[in-house]
Amino acid sequence: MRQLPAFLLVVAIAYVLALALSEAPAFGRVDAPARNEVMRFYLDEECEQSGIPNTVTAIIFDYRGYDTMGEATVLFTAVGAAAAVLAGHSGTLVARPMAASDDVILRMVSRMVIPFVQIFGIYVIVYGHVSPGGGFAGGTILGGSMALYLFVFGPKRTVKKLPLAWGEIADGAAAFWYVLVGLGGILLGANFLANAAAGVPLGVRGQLFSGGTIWLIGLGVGVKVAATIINLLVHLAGET
Amino acid sequence: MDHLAVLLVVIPLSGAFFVPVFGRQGGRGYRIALGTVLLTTGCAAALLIITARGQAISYLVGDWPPPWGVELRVDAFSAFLSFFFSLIYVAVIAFSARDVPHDLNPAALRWYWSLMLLLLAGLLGVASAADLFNLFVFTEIYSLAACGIISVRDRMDSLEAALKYLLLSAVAAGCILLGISLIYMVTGHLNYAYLATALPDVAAGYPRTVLAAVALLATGYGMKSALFPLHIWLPDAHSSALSPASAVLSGLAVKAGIIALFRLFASVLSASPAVVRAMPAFLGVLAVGGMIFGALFAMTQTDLKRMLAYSTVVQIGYIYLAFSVLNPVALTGAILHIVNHALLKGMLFLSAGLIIHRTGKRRIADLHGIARQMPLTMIAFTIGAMGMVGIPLTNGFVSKWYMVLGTLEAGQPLAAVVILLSSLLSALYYFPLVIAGWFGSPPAPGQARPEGPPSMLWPVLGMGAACLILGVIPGPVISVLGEAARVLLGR
Amino acid sequence: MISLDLFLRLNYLAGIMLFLIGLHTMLTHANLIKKVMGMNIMETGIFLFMVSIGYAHGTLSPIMRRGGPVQGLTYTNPLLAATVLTGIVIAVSTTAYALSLIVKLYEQCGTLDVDRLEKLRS
Repeated sequence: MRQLPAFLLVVAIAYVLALALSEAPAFGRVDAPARNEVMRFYLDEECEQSGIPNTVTAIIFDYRGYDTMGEATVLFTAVGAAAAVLAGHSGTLVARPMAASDDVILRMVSRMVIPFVQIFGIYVIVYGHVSPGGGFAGGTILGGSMALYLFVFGPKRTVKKLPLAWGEIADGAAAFWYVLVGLGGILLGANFLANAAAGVPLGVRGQLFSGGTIWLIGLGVGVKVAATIINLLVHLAGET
Repeated sequence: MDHLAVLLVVIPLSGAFFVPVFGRQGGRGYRIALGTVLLTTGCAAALLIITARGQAISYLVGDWPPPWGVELRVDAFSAFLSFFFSLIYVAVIAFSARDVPHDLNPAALRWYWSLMLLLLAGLLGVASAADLFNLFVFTEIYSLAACGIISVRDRMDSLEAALKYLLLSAVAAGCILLGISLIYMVTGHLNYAYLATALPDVAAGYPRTVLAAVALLATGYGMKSALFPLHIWLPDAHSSALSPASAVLSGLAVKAGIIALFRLFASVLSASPAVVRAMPAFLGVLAVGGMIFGALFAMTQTDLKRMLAYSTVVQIGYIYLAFSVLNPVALTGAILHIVNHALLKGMLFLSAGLIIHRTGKRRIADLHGIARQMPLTMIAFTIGAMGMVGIPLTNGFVSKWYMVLGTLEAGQPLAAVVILLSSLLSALYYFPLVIAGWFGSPPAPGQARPEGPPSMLWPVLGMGAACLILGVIPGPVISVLGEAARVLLGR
Repeated sequence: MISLDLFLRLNYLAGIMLFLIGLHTMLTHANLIKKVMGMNIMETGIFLFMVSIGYAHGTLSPIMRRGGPVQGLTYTNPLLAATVLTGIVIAVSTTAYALSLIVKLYEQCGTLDVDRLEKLRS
C-alpha cells in the first residue's frame, strides 16, 4: 500500500539529485570550488602558526569550537531524553534481563583487557591534537571499555562501581566545563571560546601541552562522551 | 556588551547542564530553570534595546573572523524573537511548577527542566546563527529536545508521537545536511555573508546544484516547521505532550524552521537567480494548502488539544504565505505573527492545560458551561480564540492587518483573500467552543470546582494581558519590526 | 538532462544511493528497528557524500607530519572531516534516543510494528 508512493518519491528525489550531480564539480578535482581560501587558511595557518598538527582537531575545538559545543549539547540532550524515557523501566520485557556472564575465559580476558583499553582511550584523548584522535574518538574508546564491563559483569555491578548519579553528574559537569573554558576567553578580554586570541600560551608544536584551550576542551569532551555512552547503556540495560 | 549575543545561548545551555548536577533534589530543578529563563529574558531585553535602532551585533566566536570561524548575528529580527520567546518561556516554566510534577516520576521531572532549557537554547541558537553548519547543529539540539519533552510523559501515545516526530525530523535533518553539503561543494563557504556574495556567480555556473540544495533545505526546514504536506507529525506530537510542553512546541518550536528559512531566503539567497527566488512563491502555494486543509481538519476534531494542534498548521500557513510575497510590510506582519501566534497558542494550550488539570476533561463536547467553573481561564481562552480569528483589539488583528496590507502592496490580492477567508474558517472552529463554554449548560450542575491555583493562573492571564497590550498599542513593536524586516530583506 | 558525466562522480553517486536506500527503508518498512536502521543508512550516505566532497586525487590526510609537505593544497579538506564528525555524533545521539523510545514502546505494547501500534492506539 505504501510501497508505490514511497518508490515514486524516492525516484523523484533520485532524478533531481542526478540532475544536480551531473553538473556538479567532478570527484577528486584538486581545483574543486570547495578547495578555496577557507580550506587553505586552515591548513597553512596550522603549518605556520597555531602549532597543532591535527588540523581536524584544530577546526573542531578551535576555529569552529562553537559548533562542537552544540555537538556536545546534542549528546547531552540525547542522554537526557533517553534517561527521561527509560526512568522507571524494568528491562524485564526486553528479551531476558541482562545478567553477568558466567564464562570464566570471558571474565578473565575482560579483566585483563579493560585497563589497557582505558589507558589507550586516555592516550587518544590527551594526544588528540598532535596525532589522529581527539576527545570524541578517545571518549568512545573509554566508554567502550565501560560498555565491555557492563556486558561481562552485568548492570548491577557496573552501577555499584559507577553509580548512575555520578554518571549524570559527570555528564552535566563535563558539558559545563566546555562552557567554562569558553567563558575563560571572555574573562581574558577576548571573545567566547577564544584560544590564542585571548593570550592562552600555545606551547611548542607537537608536544603534549600545546594548542592552548584545545587540550582542555578535548579532556572535557572525552569525559563527556565516555559518560554519555555508559549512561545510555546502563539505562537501556534497565538499571535505573 | 557584544558578549550578550553569545550569552543569550550560553545561559540556557549552562542552566540545562546545571540541572543534573545541582538540581537532584525536590524543587531545585524548577528553581534553576526559572532563574535561567529570567536571566535569558534580561539578556534578550538588553539585546533588543541595543539592536532596536537597526544596529546589528556580529559576534565572532573564538575571535576567528567569518570565513574561518563561526559568526553569530543578532539583529532586530533575532533580538525581537529571542526576547518574546524567552518571555513566553518564563510563563510556561512558572506554569509547569504545579502542572507537571504529579505527571512525572522524579528522574523524568529533572530531565524535563533540563530539556526545556535545551529547547530554548536551541531556538535562540537558531535565531542568532549566521553560519549554515551552526544553524544545523542548533536545529538538531532543539529537535531532539522537542522530542524529549514529548516523551518524558510515560504514556504510549506520547512515546509513539515522539518516535514519529523523531524519525521525521531525522529525515528532515538528512535533507538539510545534504543541502548544506551541496552548497558547500559549489561555494566553499558556510558563512551567510560570504554565501550571499558567492552564490550569484556560483548559481550561474551550477544552477541545478544550487536549486537542488535550496529545495532540500526548504524541504528539511518545511518539515521541521510543519509546512502543509509535511505536517503529519504535528497533531499527534502536540496533542499528546504535557500541556506546558505543547505550549512551547506549538508556540515556539515549529517557528525555528520558519526563522531559518526567512533568513536563508531573505538574506542569503536574495541575490541569486530567478529560479531560487521563485522558491518562496512555491512555499506560499503550500501554505495556502495548509491554511485550507488545516482548518477543515481542525473543524472535525473532537479533542481540544488536537484541535489546537491543527490550528497551528493553519497559522504556520499564514506566516509562510505572508513571507512568500517578500514585501517589507507583509514580512513585518509575518514576524509579528510568529510572536503573536506564540503568545496566543501558548496561552490557549496553557488554559487547555488548566482545564484538563482541574476537570480532567479534554473532549470539546464536554466543555459546555466550563466558564461557570473557571471564568478566569475561560477569559484567557476567549482572548486567545479572538486573537486567532483576528478580532480588532487583539494582537492577532494587527499582524493579519499588516499581512493583508503587504500582500496587497505586493500585488497579490489573491493571497489577501486567502488570509481573510482562512480567518473566517478559524471563527468556525473557535467560536462554537467559546460560545458553548460561556453559555452552554454544564452537564452536571452543582459540582462547582474552584478555579486553578494562582501560580498556574497568573502565567496564563499575563500572556492574555500581553496579547491585549500588543493589540491595543502595537506602535512601538511595529517600528522595531519594520526595522527588522528591512534588515532581513537587506533594503 | 542527466549526462554521462554522472559516472565521473561515482563516489557522490554512491553516497546519494545510500541516502535514497535509507529513505526508502524508512518509508516502507513497518518495523521500527528497521526504520532506525534506514535512518542510519541514510545518514551514512550523507557522510560518505560529504567526505567525498573533501577528497582530491593525490592528497594526504590533514595531519601535519614533521618535515612533511607544508603547502595547504597537498591535503584533503579538513573542514568536511570536522563537519562529518559533528554529523556522526548527532546521528549517534538520534539513534540512541530512538532506540530507547523503541525499548519503552515495546515494553508497553509488546510490538515493534507501526501498523499494530496504530491499531492499539485507536
